[in-house]
Amino acid sequence: MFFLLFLLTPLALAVSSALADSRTLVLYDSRLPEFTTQYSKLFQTLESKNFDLELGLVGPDSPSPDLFTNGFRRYQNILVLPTTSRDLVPTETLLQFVQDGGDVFVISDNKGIQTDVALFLNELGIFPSPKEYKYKDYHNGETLDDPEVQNTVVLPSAKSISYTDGSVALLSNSELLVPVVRAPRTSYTVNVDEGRLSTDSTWHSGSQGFLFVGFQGLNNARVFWTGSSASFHDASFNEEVVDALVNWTFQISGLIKATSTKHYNENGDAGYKIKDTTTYEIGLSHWNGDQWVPFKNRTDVQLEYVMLDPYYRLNLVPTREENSSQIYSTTFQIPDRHGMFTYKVLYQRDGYSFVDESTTVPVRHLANDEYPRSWEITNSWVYLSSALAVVIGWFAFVVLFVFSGNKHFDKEKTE
Amino acid sequence: MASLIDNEGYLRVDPSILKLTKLLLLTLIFVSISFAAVSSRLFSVIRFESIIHEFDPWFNFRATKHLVNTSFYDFLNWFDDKTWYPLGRVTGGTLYPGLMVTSSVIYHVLKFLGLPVDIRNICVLLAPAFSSVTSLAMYLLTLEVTSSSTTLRTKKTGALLSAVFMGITPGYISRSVAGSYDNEAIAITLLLVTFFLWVKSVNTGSVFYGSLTAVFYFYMVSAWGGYVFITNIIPLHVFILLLMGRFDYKIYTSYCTWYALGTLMSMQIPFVGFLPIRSNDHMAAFGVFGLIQLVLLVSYLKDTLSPQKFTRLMYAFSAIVASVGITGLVAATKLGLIAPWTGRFYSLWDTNYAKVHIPIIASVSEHQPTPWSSFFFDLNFMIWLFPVGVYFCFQELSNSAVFVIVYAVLGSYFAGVMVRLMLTLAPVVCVCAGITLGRLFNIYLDIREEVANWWHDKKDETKDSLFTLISKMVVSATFIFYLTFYVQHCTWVTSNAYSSPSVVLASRAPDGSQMLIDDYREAYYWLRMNTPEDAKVMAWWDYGYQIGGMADRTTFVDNNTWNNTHIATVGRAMATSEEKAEVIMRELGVDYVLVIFGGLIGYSGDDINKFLWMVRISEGIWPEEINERNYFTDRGAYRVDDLATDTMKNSLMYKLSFYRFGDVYAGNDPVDRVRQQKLSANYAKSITVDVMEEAFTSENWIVRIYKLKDKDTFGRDLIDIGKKERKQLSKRNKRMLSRKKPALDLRV
Repeated sequence: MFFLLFLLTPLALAVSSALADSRTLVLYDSRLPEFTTQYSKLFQTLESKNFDLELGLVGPDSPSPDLFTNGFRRYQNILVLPTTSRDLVPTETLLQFVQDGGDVFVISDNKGIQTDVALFLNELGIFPSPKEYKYKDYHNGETLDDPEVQNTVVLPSAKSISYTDGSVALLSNSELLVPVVRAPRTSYTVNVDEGRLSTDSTWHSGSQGFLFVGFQGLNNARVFWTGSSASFHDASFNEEVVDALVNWTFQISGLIKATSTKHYNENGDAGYKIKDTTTYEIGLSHWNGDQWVPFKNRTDVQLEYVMLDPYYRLNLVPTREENSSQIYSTTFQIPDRHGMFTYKVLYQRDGYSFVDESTTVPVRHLANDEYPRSWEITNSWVYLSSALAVVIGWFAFVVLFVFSGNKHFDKEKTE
Repeated sequence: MASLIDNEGYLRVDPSILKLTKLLLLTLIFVSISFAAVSSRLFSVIRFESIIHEFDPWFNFRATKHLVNTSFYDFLNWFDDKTWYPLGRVTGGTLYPGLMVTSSVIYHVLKFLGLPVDIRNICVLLAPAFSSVTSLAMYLLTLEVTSSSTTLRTKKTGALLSAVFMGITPGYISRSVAGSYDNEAIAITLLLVTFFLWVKSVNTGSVFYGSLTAVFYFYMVSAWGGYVFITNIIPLHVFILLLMGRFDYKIYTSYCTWYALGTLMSMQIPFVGFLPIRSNDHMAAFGVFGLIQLVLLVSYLKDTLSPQKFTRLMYAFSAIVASVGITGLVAATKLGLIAPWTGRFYSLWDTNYAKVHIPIIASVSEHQPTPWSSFFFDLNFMIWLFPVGVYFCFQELSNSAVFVIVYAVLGSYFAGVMVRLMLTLAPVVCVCAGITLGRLFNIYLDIREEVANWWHDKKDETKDSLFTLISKMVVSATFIFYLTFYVQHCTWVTSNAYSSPSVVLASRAPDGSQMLIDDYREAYYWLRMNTPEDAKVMAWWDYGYQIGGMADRTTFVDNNTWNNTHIATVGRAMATSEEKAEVIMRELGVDYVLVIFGGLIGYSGDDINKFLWMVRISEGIWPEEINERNYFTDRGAYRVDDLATDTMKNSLMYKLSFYRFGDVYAGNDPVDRVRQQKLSANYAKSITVDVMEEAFTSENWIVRIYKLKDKDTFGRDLIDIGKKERKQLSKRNKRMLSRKKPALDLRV
């Protein structure tokens, strides 16, 4: 019956995930009465992006949903709406789900975050405040005007965000986290059960906390957390924000990939030897929501030429477009050192998928017939001439010795 | 009529028939010697199978296959990208190609003749085949020495005896059993041929023999680094002859021919290159070459000048020569034109040098000083015939006898310094023993006179000759007994000590039957079949050649040991804690780690026993991080059980060796059978490995292979994950944990 409700007119811009798999599980708490009425706009947005939605009811009696059948992932995406249920999906299963490439969008609030999900987020380095802690900001109230957006790839712009019943997260120093919106300087979270304000009773204070946080694993699977469901409610639905966040988490925006890598020897040989000139090319594509297009205008794509340590770290320059990808390339001379060299492009920019391409090639020494000949080296002329002089001198000596002695021997013989 | 009985009752035979019979006998003897030499080397093939032995032969075998499959120039320019990752090895330029070229020539000749023999079999049987050539060369050498000295002349008895000795002496067999496809397999043959030709050319003064010496010297240079032995012994021989006032044109001709041609030819081997004019090892030969030119000049001046003028000139001349020579030498060393004294060279003089300064040299067991017993073990009764032979040479002091003396002195010294140089001593011992026994038998087996006396019934002499006969018989019988015993000893030593391939191990089952332990090949085969072709396997350098040869996988360090730092890096990864090892291994690009663990079945040559060498070698480079003392308990014991030090317990090598060791004993206390130490069951259970996962463990646990885990997808520390998993928190505790404010560093 929900499905009928959500099969409404799609929104204007039809975008969809770059992944063929669009099965999406939405988990919600059956005990929260407002659910049925409050999330229709969110569901419309999801429907419009061609996600194949499935609803998972979570309650005290319902079994936890299976994310895997026979070891295969059943969904590409999971959307976790605020729940207070004790058992949801075991933390290990969630980790395994993301490890396997699935994406998870978690919306929680200060009424409490589900323990398994909290532990899951903790593993990633996101520590949301638990339910006793309340978000306070006496200067701005519960609406952020002109929020401090940290990553425009994930969230291009946001005018104002309402953050009612919010919880705030502290973040670890993990490099895989993508902080999106930072808590205002005037805000703090406090444990309302403890009357006094102290370091122990506050979870965060000022810009230490984060309200919107993304995470991208090394396998490019994405997780997103936000501590307030206000922007997702029908009442205060923030289309701009929801659209951007769903797009990023469910692999529609911020997607790039390497379509091809190529390296060749400028002199046409199959292998490499020291001091050859080599060209490296990498093709990068960008998903625009509909198709792969060239990933253009980047000046920060770098190539490392590594053997134990990088011998080169070069900026790649865009050269041409080819089959919906932008080719970046560079040409350089291989150092005077033989060994196993690796061409390595590690393009990790917050918000974009990680590109990690490496190819190892042997670089050999000069073969016996590839050195310059002795007479081509001017320094050797002195040795060559002395050798030649000895040869000639010896020959002359032999000739003189043989022929000058004749008379003497003849005389002796005749005598 | 070829023979008849003359009127005196003697049998008269036509000389041509006698010659023919002699030749036939000689051939027969050589066939027998060859048969004995080859067959005693086949124990390993019969006991085990036709397989390449030990470590270095695996590289030689792999290189030979490369040579057979490509061209000679490809081989010469071979850049090996499967070893010393990621440095690679310029293999073609850093090996002695003689052995591989020899086998490939044999292979191609046989193929041309329509006998397609597998290259492996050629490699396995090359050493036995060459051993029969060696005994022939030994015969020629001894014959040349004895026949050119009047008092040493023993017909051919001495020469033949020395050939027999050489054929089966364990000192030589140790390096030339079937499957021991090492450089020494052909190098000893070449050494003897070169020495024979050298003695011959000194005796004849012929340019022809001098050039032949140079040609075989070149072959020797192309085959083994031990050619330096020849490079030094020949000049020393000449120098001593000079001091003895024996200098003549024969010596001059043969030395100059050999030195000029030999040096030029040896420089054609890429690995040798300019060493003959730069390295101090070769300076003696160069110096003597200069010296004999001076001697020649001086003897010319002596003929032309008056004695007074000559003496004055001599003083001035020698002062100039000495000062120029010494300053030149010092300056060239300082300027780096000639290579500094190498560590291997120092360790020849001071047996403790390596232990103190170069652990990598000392870590090789064959570089250890020789124990006394091994002289008897390897040479048997020849060890006391040897001084007698040298004594006989001193009695004669002909040019060739002096050569034997020089060789004997140098050979004994070097054999005392390094175990493996027993190999170079063995030939001269055989020469001396041959000379001694030949002389002895010439006298004591010659009973013609006594028999004739008795036959002709000369009354007055019969009684005397009877005693002589008896004493002669007793002495001969004694020595024939020794000879028999020698054969027994050699066979026993060969079959028990030197015929194990060390790739396959033999042991006895409780019922006495033989049991083969084939863990190495099992593991290498697993690697070959179950890992990606470009997988990189980290192991201690001992196993580098075997992994390359049998598993065909990329290795980081191998028995070539050309880069001490790289070896130390691997040693450091093994000796340090898991956290640090993970960083090192990721930098290197390690996929798999292979360790040898003998604790379960008591195989003493395992990595825990070699571990201290890894520690020492890496300590040489990172003394602030690795410290040998930390691997010993306070009381100085090397322990691997519960009492082991924390550094030991935390080291990667220790963890990889003992991980899950307790599981085998099903709850009982596991016992390390090599170290004879008992681990408590609880402690054994607590040994964990987090950054790697066990990929393979062989039947008897000798080889254990681990795979380096991928980096965690979520950016967590692998060791933290492991610790967390082992904690097994209850649900309630977990919930409490999720509600506790984390202690975090300020996010930047």
